[in-house]
Amino acid sequence: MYELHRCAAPDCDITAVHNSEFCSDHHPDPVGLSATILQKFAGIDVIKNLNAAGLRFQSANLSGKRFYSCSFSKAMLQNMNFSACTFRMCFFDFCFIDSCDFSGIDAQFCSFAGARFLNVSFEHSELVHNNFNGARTNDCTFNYSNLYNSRFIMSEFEHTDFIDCNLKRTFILPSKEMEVSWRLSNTQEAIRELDRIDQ
Amino acid sequence: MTVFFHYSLHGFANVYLVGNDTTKEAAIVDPAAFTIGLLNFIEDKGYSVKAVLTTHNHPHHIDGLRTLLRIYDATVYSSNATIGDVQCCMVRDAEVFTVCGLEVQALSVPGHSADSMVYLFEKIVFTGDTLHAGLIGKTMSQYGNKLLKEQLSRKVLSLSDDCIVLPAHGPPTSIGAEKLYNFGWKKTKEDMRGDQYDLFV
Repeated sequence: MYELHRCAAPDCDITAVHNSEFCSDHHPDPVGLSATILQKFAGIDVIKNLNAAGLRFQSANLSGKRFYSCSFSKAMLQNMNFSACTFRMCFFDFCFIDSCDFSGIDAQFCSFAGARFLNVSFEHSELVHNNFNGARTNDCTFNYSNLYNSRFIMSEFEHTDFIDCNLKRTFILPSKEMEVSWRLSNTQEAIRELDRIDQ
Repeated sequence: MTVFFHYSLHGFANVYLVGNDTTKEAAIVDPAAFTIGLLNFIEDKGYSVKAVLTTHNHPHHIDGLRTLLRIYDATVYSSNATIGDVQCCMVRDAEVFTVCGLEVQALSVPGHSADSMVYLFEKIVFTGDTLHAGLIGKTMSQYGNKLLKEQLSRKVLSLSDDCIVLPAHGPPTSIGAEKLYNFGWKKTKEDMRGDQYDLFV
């Protein structure tokens, strides 16, 4: 599990980021820290227990890397390449994700709750047991992905496609759908009504 | 501290292993079915199970308990004195205790079941069936529903927004996300349906 010690700044309850006593808001050099973390990524394939919450990352190729128990909550990710990455128990809550490639990823037991996605591809991915509640997507694609047991509660979809996806046990209770395609997906196996919730 | 997740097909429940990296001792949260897959999972990680924390005694969360106790000498923590014929170490609301060298606080959150307990380790909260991503636990009555919401609001949602929520079913979430995106805080089913249908128009 990533480190969960609190930020050393007075009255701050947020967890401190990687190798620091402070959270991203109180860190003296968050830009430098982001660059250091990206440099560190370059030499390793497996990234474990990293807390990068609230940091900003852009234009890096992290394709094929494996992330275990990492936090990118409230981070800003722009023009990042995460294609073919593996994610286990990683947190992207309230992230701002712009023009990133998550195609071919294998993400299990991750949270993208409240994240904002602009022009993001999740095509051909294993997205099993993930939380997309409250996520807002614009110009995104989840085509040809396995969304088994994932949740899209109170999400907002605009110009987003879910073509030929596995939706078995997927909770799809969005609060907004505009120009969304579910073509060739097994929508009848998804949970789209609250009466079908039996937990 | 390391937390591992295991998906049990028995009741589609989540089983968690909370490991102390120093002592290599571990606690299991809700041992659904104790399968060879779960045993291999624990052994592969190199942990010895010393404690079991049960969030409530519904069968698909505790069915693996007897098998687990034949393999590991573990103390079972619960709000019940016994689960079946297994003697438990009873924990009470707000009680702080130590398992495997890790400090944990038990919080009683009745509503889904009378014995529902939530366990808080640092900034990780195991909510059992009281709180899932986007939903609150199913209750048998309006009283139970009201009680569950009141208890969750007072004891769980009061935790910091970046606190991780690991429920007994479904994906992980955070307190911040649950405050904003949980259907349970809607007043009635009609409210929820209304919101859905209005926005589909």
